Amino acid sequence: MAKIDNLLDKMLTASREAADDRVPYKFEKRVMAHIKETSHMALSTWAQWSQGLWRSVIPCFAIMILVAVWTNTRSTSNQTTKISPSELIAQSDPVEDELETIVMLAIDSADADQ
Amino acid sequence: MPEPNDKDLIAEVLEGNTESFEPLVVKYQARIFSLARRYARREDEVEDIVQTVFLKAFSKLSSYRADAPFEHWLMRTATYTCYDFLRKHQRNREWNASDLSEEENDWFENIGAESTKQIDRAAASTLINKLLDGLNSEDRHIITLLELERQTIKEIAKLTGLSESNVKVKAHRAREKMRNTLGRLTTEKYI
Repeated sequence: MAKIDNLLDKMLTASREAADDRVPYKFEKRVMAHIKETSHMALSTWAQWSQGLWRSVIPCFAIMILVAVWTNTRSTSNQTTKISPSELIAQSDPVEDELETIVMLAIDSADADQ
Repeated sequence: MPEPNDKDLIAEVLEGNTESFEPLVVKYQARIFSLARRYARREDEVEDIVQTVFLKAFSKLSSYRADAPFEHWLMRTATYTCYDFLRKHQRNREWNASDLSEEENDWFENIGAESTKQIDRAAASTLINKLLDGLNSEDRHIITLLELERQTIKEIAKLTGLSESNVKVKAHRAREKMRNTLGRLTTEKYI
């Protein structure tokens, strides 16, 4: 077993010393070309995004103005519409009116007892 | 004119001067090729690994903190990339004496008689690679870093995210497996 261990150690030492650090010719140029290509692609993605966002500015602004005008028109028309007294009576809730009468009657009778 | 140091080059790259990355590639590519050849056999695979390392380093350069040398940071990126490759291309292959090439056979013949200097290192390296092929990717990674790259247990634990005692246990078991394969091989060869 010790012999095998020794053999393995020798193999590992020899392999360690056989470190192969050869570099293919102009490898750095290849890496730089890839980097430029990748960064250009990333840049173009951002460029597409910003172009799209700039294009959407005008429609968004137009929608914003339309919504503002519409909201403003609606609130003004609500303020200007006058309601007649008969319409007010028609709009009042009979249940609420009855409740108010009962409560007021109870208070009045209590005052009369005193 | 003195060569610009790593920090200056990195600062230039971060300012947008991509060209300043090239001297860094030239400076460290040999070291990374040497590491990548421990993990991949085919030359196109080795080149792919090295290229990936530099692309990753370039894209993550802003995350580099200058508190440690750039070489350490780059080698850590290289180690992670090599391990990723190993996991994707796990061979885990058993082999026997008949698979040995002529040079590897010669290596076995001469190992007892000759000194380490005279040993055909390339053949020994191929033999070690074959032994490593029999290990799982994690064990192979640990043995490569420990025995071939001479990293410490502490450094390996930091790189792999394992505890130091776990690294020791895994290294011991992996070595035992390699020893068993080698024992089987020598038995097949000489009996």
